[in-house]
Amino acid sequence: MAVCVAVIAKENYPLYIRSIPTENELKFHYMVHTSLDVVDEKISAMGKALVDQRELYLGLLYPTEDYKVYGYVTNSKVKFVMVVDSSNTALRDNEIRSMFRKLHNSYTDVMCNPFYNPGDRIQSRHEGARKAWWQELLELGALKRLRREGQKTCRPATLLHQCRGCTPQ
Amino acid sequence: MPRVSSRSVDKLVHLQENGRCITKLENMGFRVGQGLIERFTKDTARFKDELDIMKFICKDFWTTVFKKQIDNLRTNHQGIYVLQDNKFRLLTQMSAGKQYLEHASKYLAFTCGLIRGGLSNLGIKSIVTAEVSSMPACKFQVMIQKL
Repeated sequence: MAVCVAVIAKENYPLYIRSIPTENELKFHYMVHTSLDVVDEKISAMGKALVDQRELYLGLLYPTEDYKVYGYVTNSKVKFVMVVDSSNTALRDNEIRSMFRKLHNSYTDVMCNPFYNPGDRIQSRHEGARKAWWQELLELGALKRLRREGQKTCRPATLLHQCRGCTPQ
Repeated sequence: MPRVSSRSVDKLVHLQENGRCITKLENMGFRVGQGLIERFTKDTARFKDELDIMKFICKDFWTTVFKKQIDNLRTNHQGIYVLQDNKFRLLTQMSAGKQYLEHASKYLAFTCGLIRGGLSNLGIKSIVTAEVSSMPACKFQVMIQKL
């Protein structure tokens, strides 16, 4: 399941960054920051390489021992970075792509909002909406796990792991 | 004390108002252009270069907004592009003579902003001006500013 999500403007500062509340959230911020170099590398490599590699989705940027980092760049050079828990081994490419698609749709809606100034921090004033979105992401991870392990209990990956429909250990 | 005729004062105020209106319209077009481009380029592939972006503006962008394409795109390959539309949708309802030529610039200001906003969101800083020599044809000149 996604552990951290970031939206980064084309000038490389974060417009929106949220992670699961753990003890050391800063490490996610650092991971997102270092992933920006990889993103830039991929974009410039794509320019010189084959022309048919013109997708917006960049794929796995780099894996660490606990997490994997995925990237996506829009045509307006806004980058989306997602850090995913490695223990959820078979989060398929399609699911990551669909998560990025939803993120891109939400970002486009924000851009079209006349009260939003491009370049400002993205602030969600609806706490309920944010919680619902996290719930959806958690559910995505939890459902995959349940399907694979049967109806067994699932190990909480973080202190605040909440998962509907399975008994916590 | 020299007497300033009220008519010349009126004309001056009118010109200033005109300038302010046009700037305001252009700025509105800029913001709308940014949002529109974000929506239109959501599913398209990444752009190769500047010319690719200009072609996108002339074809897909113009078609979605004005239901027709730009009729002619010219460039000097050094950052100046001229987009010519022979039947601009916002000018078709006006008479084809010289009568309203001076008022046409008000109708083109928003579209200039639209182009400038779209290009700015795609990473290109530019200045867009428009001119009308004979209604309803008009030309948009885009000057790309190299940073």
